[in-house]
Amino acid sequence: MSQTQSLEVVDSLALLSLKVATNTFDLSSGMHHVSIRDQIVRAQLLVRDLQRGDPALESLLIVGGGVAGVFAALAAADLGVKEVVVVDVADQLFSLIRNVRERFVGPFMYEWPSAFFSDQSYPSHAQTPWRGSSMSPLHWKSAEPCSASDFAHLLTCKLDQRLRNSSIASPRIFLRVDRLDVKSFVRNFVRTEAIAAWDLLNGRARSARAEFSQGSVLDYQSRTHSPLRVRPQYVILASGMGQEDCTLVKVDATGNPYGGQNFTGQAFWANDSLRDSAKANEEIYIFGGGDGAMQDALRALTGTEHPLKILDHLQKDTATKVAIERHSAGLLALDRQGRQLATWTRGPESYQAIDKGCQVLASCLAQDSNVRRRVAEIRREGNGSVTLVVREPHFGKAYMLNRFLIHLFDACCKSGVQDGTPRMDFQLYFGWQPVGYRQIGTKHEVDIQELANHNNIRPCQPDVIVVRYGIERNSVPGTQMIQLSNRPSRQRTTLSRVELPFVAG
Amino acid sequence: MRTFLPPTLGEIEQAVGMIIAQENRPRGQHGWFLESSSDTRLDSVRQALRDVEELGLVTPVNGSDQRWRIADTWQPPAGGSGRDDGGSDGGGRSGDFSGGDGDGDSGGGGLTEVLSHPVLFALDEESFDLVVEGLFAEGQS
Repeated sequence: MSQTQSLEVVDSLALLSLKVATNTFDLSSGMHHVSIRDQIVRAQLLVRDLQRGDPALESLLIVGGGVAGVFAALAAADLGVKEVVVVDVADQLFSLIRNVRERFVGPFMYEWPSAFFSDQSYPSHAQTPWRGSSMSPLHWKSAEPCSASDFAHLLTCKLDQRLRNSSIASPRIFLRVDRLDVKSFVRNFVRTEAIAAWDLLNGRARSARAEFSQGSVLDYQSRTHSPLRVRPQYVILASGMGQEDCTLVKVDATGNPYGGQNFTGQAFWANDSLRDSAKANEEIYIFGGGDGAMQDALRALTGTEHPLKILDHLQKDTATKVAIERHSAGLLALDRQGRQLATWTRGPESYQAIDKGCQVLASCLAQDSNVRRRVAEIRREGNGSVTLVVREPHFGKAYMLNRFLIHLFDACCKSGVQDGTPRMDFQLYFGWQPVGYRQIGTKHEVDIQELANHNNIRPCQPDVIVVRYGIERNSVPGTQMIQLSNRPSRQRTTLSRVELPFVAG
Repeated sequence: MRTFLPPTLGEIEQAVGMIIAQENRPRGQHGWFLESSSDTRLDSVRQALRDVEELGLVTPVNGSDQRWRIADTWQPPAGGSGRDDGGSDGGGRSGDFSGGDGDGDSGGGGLTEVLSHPVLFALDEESFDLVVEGLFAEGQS
């Protein structure tokens, strides 16, 4: 070739996987990896790649003042994007988690059994080889996993400190924005940008960008009300993970949609009373097979704040620690396999072998009397029980720490070993579903049905019901069109399961 | 090469009037136009031009609404600023169309074309509507 070609290869996975409409990205709905660190990394990667992919990026509107939105905004400001505007309908940032004292978060807790699981700082990692990464404008430092409310407070303090530094560019943050106006603007923005895209492709001048304007909204920095006008090049949606499904019974015993009396549980991000001491003497039924259900089962059974406390307790006994470490390589391999397989394979079958493998390792450990004793000791003293009812024949997507501990408690409880103290019992039902609900006075009655034998229906009387079905599927789109025309197509694709790196950078 | 001076607002208004008259529909769908005052007709044409300007079909010359031209005669300057001398409010992004010389320069296009494509890697309209409706809905991890 006589001419020198100077082609640039650009990173595009974050952009393509998170695009939902013309020049619009969604950081929230339909995501597979949803830990708070995942949200931070996803936001930072998106902004990084957008800035690299479109060097003329100057104006960005971010809808949602939660963790993802604020981290995206600060990352964009740090990368030199001139105009970064965050809007939220709430009157404070991080409103979803701000007052949640019962949920605990940590950046690497769920990376167990990776060696750095106990590192609770992001992104300055004392125990990780990527300590040089410092993409995050906020520093998440904590001696151990902290409550969601403490985390929100920590982020707010860091953010305020950052915004006070007038020597560096900062995003503008506006609260109490009108919800309907935002929705209307997003639709208008997409329409306008779609027309402009065709115009540009055909060599025509593009039309004016859509303007988002508010007469008077709360300016986060000045705490005064002021007007807002912005004509963004791109919009990032960082609010709304979908509707949480907390309704207990979906079908009746014949498999038809359930129309009888029903129960609706507390939302995940609500303060519950599962760890109250009185609950140790109650019958607690938890429905669901994901991380939320497992977390709640572990909290109810042990009264601990988060699963690292359970692990700490187990590993304080040297023999138990050695026994667990003997299997940690196998557990890590299963964990890696699960995450990588999820990227390439859509469907619950990805997890069947992984869950079975974890179950086998937990059963092996439960044969060790030291392990059984330590597991028994951390169960709360009381006459109550925790029953986890999972519709599927195995756990689906879940962090290995939760998955392993649940299987370990199940295997140890089945062994029947007691330490002489009455302690909460644990029952795990795979392949069962609720098919009826009645409330009699303050009591609950739930009929659960075995899916493999529809005639096997058991009535149960829980004192406490927790429903952790996750996000309603029909409220989460997330599949993208992969054709060029806008004709109807049955085929869709999604990159929402792509595993995220531990740290953006 | 012949050059055409873009029409003025008044010329466009006269042309619209002639078309309606030629189609012999003074009492039909657009009859009101012929029966309106000159100022009303000019205002109507100005508004219609503003509407199609929003669609990128026409553009005012020199930023004034007194003379208009078809937008597809527009070409971005080689520097890629995207702002033509007619004051288009659009460009300025590397995604703007450019006739690139095939010499491997960025020349616009590329990834930004995919990001701005209304269909490619986008949700269908119904699904996107669901996303918008779900904004600010609380969820669980």
